[in-house]
Formats: sequence, C-alpha cells, structure tokens
Amino acid sequence: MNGRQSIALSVNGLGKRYMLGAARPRYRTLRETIAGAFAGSPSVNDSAGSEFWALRNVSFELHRGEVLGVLGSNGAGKSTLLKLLSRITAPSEGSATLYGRIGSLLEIGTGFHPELSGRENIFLSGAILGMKQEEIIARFDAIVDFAEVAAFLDTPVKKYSSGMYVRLAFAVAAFLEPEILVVDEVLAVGDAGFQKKCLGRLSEVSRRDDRTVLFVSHNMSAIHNLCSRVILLDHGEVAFDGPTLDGIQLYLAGRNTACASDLSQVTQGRRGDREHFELLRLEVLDDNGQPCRVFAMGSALLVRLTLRCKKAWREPRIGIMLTNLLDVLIHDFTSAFDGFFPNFEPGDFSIDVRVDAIKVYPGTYALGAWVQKALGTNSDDHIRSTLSIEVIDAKQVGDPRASFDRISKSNTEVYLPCQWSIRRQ
Amino acid sequence: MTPLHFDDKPPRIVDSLGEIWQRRELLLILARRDLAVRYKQTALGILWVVLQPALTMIVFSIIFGRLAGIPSDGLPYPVFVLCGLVPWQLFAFALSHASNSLIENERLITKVYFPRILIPLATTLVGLVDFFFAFLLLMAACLVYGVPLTLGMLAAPLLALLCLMAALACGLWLAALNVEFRDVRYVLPFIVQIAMYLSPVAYPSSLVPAEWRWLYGLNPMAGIIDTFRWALIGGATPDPAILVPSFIITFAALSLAVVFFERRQRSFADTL
Repeated sequence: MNGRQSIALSVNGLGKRYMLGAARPRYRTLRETIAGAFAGSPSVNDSAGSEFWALRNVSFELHRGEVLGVLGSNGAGKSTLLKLLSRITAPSEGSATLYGRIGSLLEIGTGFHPELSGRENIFLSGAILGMKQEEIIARFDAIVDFAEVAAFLDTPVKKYSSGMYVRLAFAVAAFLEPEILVVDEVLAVGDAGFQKKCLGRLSEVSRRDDRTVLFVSHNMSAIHNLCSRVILLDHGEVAFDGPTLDGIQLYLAGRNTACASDLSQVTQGRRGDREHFELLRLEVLDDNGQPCRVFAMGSALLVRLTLRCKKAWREPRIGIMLTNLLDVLIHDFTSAFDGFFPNFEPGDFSIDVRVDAIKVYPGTYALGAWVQKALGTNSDDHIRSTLSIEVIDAKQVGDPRASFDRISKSNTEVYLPCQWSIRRQ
Repeated sequence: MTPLHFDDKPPRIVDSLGEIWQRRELLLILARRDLAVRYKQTALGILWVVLQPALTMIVFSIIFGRLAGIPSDGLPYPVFVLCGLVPWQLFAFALSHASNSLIENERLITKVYFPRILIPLATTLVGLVDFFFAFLLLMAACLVYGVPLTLGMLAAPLLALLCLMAALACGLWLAALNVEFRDVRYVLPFIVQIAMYLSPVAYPSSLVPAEWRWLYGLNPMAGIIDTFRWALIGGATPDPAILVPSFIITFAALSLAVVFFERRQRSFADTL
C-alpha cells in the first residue's frame, strides 16, 4: 500500500480570475460568445477591464478522514475555493482531483421549494445534493428524527417556522454522507442547541466513517473542535497550512483591529442621552496587555473601556456586558459589585477591568458596555454586543476529561467549578 | 471509483453525457417539482391545460377557418387546427420554459453543482403532461366531428418526443445565452409568435409553393406538425421536401445545442 491510497483530494495550483468593471466579463458580442464556446477554452482579452484573482496558486492535499478548516477574512477566497471544489464554477487555471463523491453544503436549504411539503423537499433537496432515491428512502426516518419535524411532514415548508426550516434543511444535508463534504458558513443559523447538534453530526461523520470534510466558519470554537488542520487564505493565496491552533492564532493576529471597537460611530444597539458620560472605545487584551481575541477557557481577560466625562459626576455605575451569539446576556460585570466607585471630572478616562479567569463554555461571545449615574436611573450611554471574542477549551480548567466543547449550550453558558463528594448511607 | 479530475479546460462531451446519464434520477425529480408547483394556488388548476388549446381552437376556427377561409386538406377546420395546436403548444411551452429555466433557478445554480442541462430538460418534460390532456381534447374533437381515429395515434408519444427535441435544439441555445444576455427574455415571445406563422398550424403546408418547401422545411416544426397531423387524422401525405430537412435539422441543431450548452455551462454560476 502506498500513500496515494488514502488521498481524498488533491489541489494543484488552482486559481480563479474574475473581470472587474467590464459589463461583459469575457466576450464582447453575441457572435463571439457563440464562436468562443466552440473554440474550446475561452480566450481572454487581457486588455479588457481589470482582472482580479479571487484565488491563485492554491495547492494542498487532503487525506481520507481529515477535517480541514479554511480560515480567512471576507474576500480572502474561501467561498471561491469551495465553489471550485464543488464544481459550481470552473477554475481559470490549475486542477483538482477528487477521489470519491463530493457533496457541498454552501447554503442552508439548497433546492428547497416553499410550496412543497417537508416530505417532498427532503426528496428534492436530497436528489439535488446528490443522493440517490434509495439512499434518501433508507435515511428518511433518520432525517425526520434529526430535524424533529415529524408532525409537519406534509405541511408546505413556507408555513414552517424559521427554526423548523433550518433544522429540516440541515438534516437533509447532514445525511448526505459523500466521501468528501464541503461546508460553508451555514451553521451560523439556528439556535445554539441545534448548532451543537450539527457540529456533533459533522465530527461524527468524519471520525466514524472516515469522511473528509472541508469546513469554512468564522466560529473559531467550531473550527477548533472539528478540524485537525487549517489553511489560512489571504488575498486568494494560501498563507498558512498546518495545525489548527497555530492557524487560528495567525488568523486572529492578522486582524488585530477586531480586538478594539471604536464606539464613537456606533449607533446600532446603543441607547442613552450621553448627557454626562459617553463611551469612546472598547478593547480586549490578554494577561500581558497585548490585544487579543481568543481566550483559553480559564485564562485572564482584560477589558479596557475608554469613556468621556462631560459634566463632573460622583460614583457612577459602570458595566461590561458579556453576551452570547444569540445576544443573550450571560454576565454583567458591574463596578459597584466589586467596590469600584470613582469620581469624575470632565475629561477622557481609561478604565481597566480584569477578569482573572474567564469561565464560560467555549464559543463566540460579544462584549458591550454601559454607564449610568446611579442605580435605577437610565443609562447615560449603553452599547450592547459590539466586540466579539472567542473562548476555546485549552484544558486549563476543570478535569482533563471535561469535554467542555461538546456540551449543549442551550441551557447554560457559565462554568462554576465546585467540589463533589460521595458517602455510603 | 475512478477519481474525478478537473481543470481549466472544458470536459470532453462524452464525459459530460456520461455524467448527465448518472444523474438521470434528478431529471425526473426536478420535473416532478416543476409540475407540483405549477398549478399551486390557481383556482382552475389543471383545467387551464385544456382551456388553452380549446379557446385557441375556437378563435382560430372563426378567424382563419370561417373569415379567412383557409383550406384544411378536406378535414373539418377545428379538428385540423387543433391537430396543429397540440404539438405546437408542446413545442412553444418547452421552448419558452427551457429558455427561462436557468434564470429562474439561479439560486440552485450558484449554490450546488449538478449537470445544468437537467434544468431545461426537466422543464420541457412538464409540457408532456399538458400534451396528454390536450391530446384527450383532440380525440374528443375527432369524435364530435366524426373524424375516425387511426392506429397512427400510437405514434403520438414519439412525435411528442420530437417536439421536445426541436424545442431543445433552439431552447438550449436561448437558455445559455439568457444567462448573459437577458435580451432573450424579451425576444422570446416574438420568436415563438413568428415561428407559429412559419409552421403549418393554422394552414396546411400544401399552401407553400413546391419550390420553396425545402426552405420551409428548415423549420423543424414544419415536418413534425405535418407528420403528426397525417399520422393522427390523415389528410395530405407529408411532402418529403419538408420532412427531410425538418428532421435533419432537428437532430443536427440539437447535437450542436448540447455541445454549446455544455461548453457554456462552466461559467453560468459566475455570470448569473
């Protein structure tokens, strides 16, 4: 047996070029369009418009059972890569070889038709995604179970709640089971509990059935849980290919700006008359005072809030809000609780809030801030969920066997360590 | 399982055809979807399928049969015109729907891969259902007007298939061009209308001067409608001068259309 046997996917110098500006990307006239189609590969007029490489010189190999995370900021070429591999669009250069059936999940509910019933859509979407009729029939009950929509199978999906729709759509895709599965940021929908269930399903598929998965997400916690390896795309090229944690750190280091939020322009989720105080800036730092977005569960987190005092005021209350992905408040760090009662003269101030150990479950959270003159008054300024952070499980707290990243977050978010004991009665 | 390799060059047409064959199940599923959706939320539902040819037959019988006095090869004019309308409407339906099918399925094309040709193919299949009901109407009209039904009726499915092939020979081009040039959408009704007057729907092709029949036969539907009428209700024997070019052009244009479509489909997701 040689190594090639276990290769699932090999990509060689793959590139995709788009033309910018020109209304007709490649062809000038209808006549040329028709002639060009028969001439073989389309000839590209280099002088026409400005060209833009969404992806260039991308090469990598994936082995069977490997789960690859694809990282990169918006426009780095993640979606283009997935579209090329799933053959939705054709490459402009390079090639790829797939050893096995590929299934792609680039949106939730591909092929769903609102007028058709849940049952009809399972068959429709399944077939479009590449399942054979008998495969769908064999997995039908499992799909319905997973989606929890048994009672509504014969209802048109346009009457479904958005949660039901998403569950059914994901369930169909989750049972697709191709040898190579390509998943774009589709898990950003649905409630937290269902998201966990989907991630669980994905890791189960890769682990148990030796399926190869390519996974794009902005949820670093999910990437960290699922992927054994990541590639980081930057301006269409591979900037990093290696272990997950290194890739995540490199990726997040490359977007340091996201470790601070300039609040002066923020209007969304903001209230208060800002008569005495105005929030200016929110930053997150690690224990060494370096800007940071990713925190190991249990490590220290430093929040730096800059605010402006417009009229002198004694002992206002200041708070830092921690919200989850669904914008539910997890915790409100309140100055008064910790005995912090500063007096303000007009001017700009910077306040540091240090959380010794951040003990929330792994995932994405957001920070916000507020300031009020006294207990029971309206906030002078209040901005919710403006800066996001990631918490990952690096085994710093709890038992090594805790598996914090696999618990359902539907009910709780916070880990409160405690002592357990047992006595025979 | 053989590995799938792809690069910047279009795949060979044999490979494309092989892939289409592999996914043939999806063709029927897409056709079933189009059919299921079609008459949702309409009050008269499937009745429209029969009403359309019936009303057209009445109007044509009055205008062309009575007022203009157009001959009908010795057959009652209403039966004669209906016998032209039934294959014509299948062709017109298939052509229009195939041409617009890619645009209407934009979300699908940009989010998942399967042989794109299945989309126009599936929409044309839906026309067969309409054809079936229109065909029943035609048989009813034959009974009413005392036109004997012949065994030639059995050729109807084959002729319907030819109608679809003719429609796709033209529709695949238009569908592919429609992706980039939305002009197609506006030109299409015009093409369909002109083509009807260039086909022996409301008049017999015997009206066309003999020396021009080869040219008339370049319209694929000319030969198909003549054969349809002849097989079903008799009348004039079709002129080979029309039949031969009609059938040759149907097959040739369809083959070219498939090749053209397969070459163009690689960029559909980028241009839609």
